[in-house]
Amino acid sequence: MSIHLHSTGDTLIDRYKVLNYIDEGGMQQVYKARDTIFGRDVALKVPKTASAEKRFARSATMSAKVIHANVAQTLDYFEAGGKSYLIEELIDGVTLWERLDKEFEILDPHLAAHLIHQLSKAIAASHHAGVFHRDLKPSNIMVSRDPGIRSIKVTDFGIAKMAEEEIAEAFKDKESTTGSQTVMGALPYMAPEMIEDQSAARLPADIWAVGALLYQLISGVLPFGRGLGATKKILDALLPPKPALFGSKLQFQQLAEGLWAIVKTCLNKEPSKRPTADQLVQMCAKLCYSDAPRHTGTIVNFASGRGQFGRIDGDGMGQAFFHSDSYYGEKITVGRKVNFAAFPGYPHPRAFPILQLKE
Amino acid sequence: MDLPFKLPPRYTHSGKKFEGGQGSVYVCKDTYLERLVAIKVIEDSSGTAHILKELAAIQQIKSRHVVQIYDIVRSVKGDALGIVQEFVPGPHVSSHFKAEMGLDDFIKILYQIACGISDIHQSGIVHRDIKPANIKLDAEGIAKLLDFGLSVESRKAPVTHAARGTACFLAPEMYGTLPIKYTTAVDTFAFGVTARTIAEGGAILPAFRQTPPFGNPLPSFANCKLGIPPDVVNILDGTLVSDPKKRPEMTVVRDRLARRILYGKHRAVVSSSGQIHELSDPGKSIFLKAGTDQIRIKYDGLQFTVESLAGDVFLNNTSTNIGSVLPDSCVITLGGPALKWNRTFAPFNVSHPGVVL
Repeated sequence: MSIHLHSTGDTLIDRYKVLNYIDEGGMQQVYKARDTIFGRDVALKVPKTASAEKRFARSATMSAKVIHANVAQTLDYFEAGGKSYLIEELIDGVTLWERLDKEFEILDPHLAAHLIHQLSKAIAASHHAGVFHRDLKPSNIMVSRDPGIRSIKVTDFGIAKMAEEEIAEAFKDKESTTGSQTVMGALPYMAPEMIEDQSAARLPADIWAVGALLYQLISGVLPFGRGLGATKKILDALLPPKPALFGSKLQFQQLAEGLWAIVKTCLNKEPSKRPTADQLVQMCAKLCYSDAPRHTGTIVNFASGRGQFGRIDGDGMGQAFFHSDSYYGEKITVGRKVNFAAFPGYPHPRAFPILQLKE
Repeated sequence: MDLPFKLPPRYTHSGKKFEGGQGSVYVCKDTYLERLVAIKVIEDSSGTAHILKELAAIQQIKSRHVVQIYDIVRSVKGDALGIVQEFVPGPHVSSHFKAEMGLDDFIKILYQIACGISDIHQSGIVHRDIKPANIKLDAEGIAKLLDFGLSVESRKAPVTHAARGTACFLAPEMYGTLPIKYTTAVDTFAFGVTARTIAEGGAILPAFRQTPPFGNPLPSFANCKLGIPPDVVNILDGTLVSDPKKRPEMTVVRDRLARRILYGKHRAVVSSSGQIHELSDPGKSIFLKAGTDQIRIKYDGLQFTVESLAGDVFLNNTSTNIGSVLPDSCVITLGGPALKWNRTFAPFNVSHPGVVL
C-alpha cells in the first residue's frame, strides 16, 4: 500500500469533500467523497503516479460514454493541484473478487446465470458505445453485499492498456513490481490474442474474459490457472474440464448445460468465432433460472431417510426445509453455512436452491 | 437559440434545444468527458435555492429509469440556473412506439415505465407529471423518466393549493376543491393514460379530455387494437378507476406486466426417484402417480396449477385443491403421513429467463 494522496476533510474544486479512503488498484486510489452541490456521496478516483495520468484520462472519457445500470456511472472529471480526478457513482458494495474470496467456493447455476446475464448486458452497452473494457476481472466488478448479489456494476473501463514492455518485464521479473502485479491480476482472464499482441486485441477479448470469469464462478477455479504458467494454456485454448457438480445434480442439469455452452463459445481461441456481446445477451436471455431473493443460514439438521430432507436455520428468518435434490454442493453437513431462496411452505418455508458457502 | 447566460468554457452548446416542462433544454458537449449532456435552464426570479433542494431529494431515488444529474451552472445575477444532466438521445416513448411493433413491445415498454414509477414511489416521492412527453428511451432502449419539477415527498402527506400537472393525465381527485390531499395514486392514473396514449400511437383519446366527474366512462384496454390479454387489461383498467384508493400499487402493476413478459417461458422441473420431468409448454401438463395417490399439474403460460387430484397429495406439507397455484418451489408428497419415509417426495421447481433490461 502506498501513501494516501488525500485525507479526510480535503476539499477539491470547492465541491468535493473527501470523507475517507476506500481502496486502491494498480493505478489509482479511491476515496469516498461528498458532492456538496447535490448532497450526495460519490467515489473520487485519483491516479497514483504521473505515468498513470494519461491512461486515467482516457479511461474517464471511455467510461463516460457507457450509460447503463450495470456500469458505474461517470459523474465528473477535473484537474486540481496538478492532478486529475474522476468522480463516479458511489457503489454500496464490494468487489466480486472480495465476495468470491470470502464467501463463495462456487456459485450455483442459478446465481451464476443471474450474474453473467447482468454482466453481459453491461458489456453489450459498452460495446454498443464502441468501448472495449480490456480488463474484465472480479476486482473490476462491483457487487452488492446481499446474498442474492442483486446489483452488479462494471467499473474501470479501458484502464488496463498495458504497454508491451510492462508485460515483457513481468515475464522476466517474477518479483512483483507494481506493473507485473497488474499483469498477474489480469492474466487469468486475458484472451490469447491479447497475450500475443496487446495492441491487436479488440472487443472479442472482453467476451473471452466473460467466459473465463463464468468458468471460475461455476467451477471455483480459474480455467487456465494463475501465474505465468497460465500463458501457454491460454495460448493453446484447450477447454478446461467441466465443473465436478455438473451432471451429478439433476435439478440443475439443464441450466448447467446452458452455462457450459456459453463458457465453450466464449473461450474459442479464434476471436471471430466467439459470440458478439449481443449474441451473448441473447444466450443469457434464454437461460431459465430462479432469481428469487436469497438468504443465508446454517444447516441444522439432515436426515438420510428416503426423503433426504434437512432444515436450515436462516439468518433473521427462522427455519426453512430443504430436499437434498435442491442442494448445490458436494456433501450436506450439519453446521455448514448456506445461501438459499425461500418459498411458502408449512410448517417452515421451503428452500431452493441451496448453495454451499465457504467454511 | 442561445442560452440566456454564458456557459462555463467546459460546456459548448451544440445548437440543439428542446422545450421541457419547466424551461428550455439545451444539448451541449461536456468537453472534459467528451460526451453530450442536456442542460435544463430554469429562470426563476425568486432564487434557485428551492430547486437545489428538490434536486437533492431526487438523489435519493435508486432507479435505472431516472436520469443522472451531473452539475449545476449559474447565471452571474443568480436568477437562472442550468441543471447539467444525462442526455437521453432517444425519441419520446409515444413516438417510438408504432402499431407494427405489437403487443410484446408495448408490454415491455409499459413494464419499464412501471419499474421507474415503482422505484420513485419506493423512495417516497410522487412524480406528479407522468406523461409520454416526460419519458424517453436511451441508446440501450431503457425508458428514462425526465422532469421531476413537480415531484414531492409522499411521506409528508402532500397537499396542493393549485392543481398543477398536465390536463388529460391529471387524476380525477386533482380536480376537487382546493386544497387537495393526494397520494402516489395520481402517478398510477397518469401511467394509465400514458399507457393508453402509447397504445394509440401517441393520440390522446377524447374520453381523457373530459373534466371529472366523467360523463362517459373511460375506455377499457380491452378495446385496444393491440389485442391486450385479459390479465393485462384487468390491471391497466384498474389504474384508471376514479377512486384513488382502488388503483393498484405500481409494484403490483410492474409484477403483473413482468409475468406477462414471461408468458410461455417458464420451466418447471420435477425430480422423482432419480428421474427428471419437465413442463414448459403452455396448455401441457404432467402427471405424477404413486399407487392411488396422483396429481396432474397444468401450465397455462403464466403459472402452474393443480388440474386434477386423487388420494393423498401434499404440496410443501399442505393439502391442496384443484385450481390451486403451485409455489415456484415446493415438494410434492404422494401418500398419507402414516407411510412416513415410504411416501414419494418430488421436488418441483420453477425457473424462467431473467427479465433483464
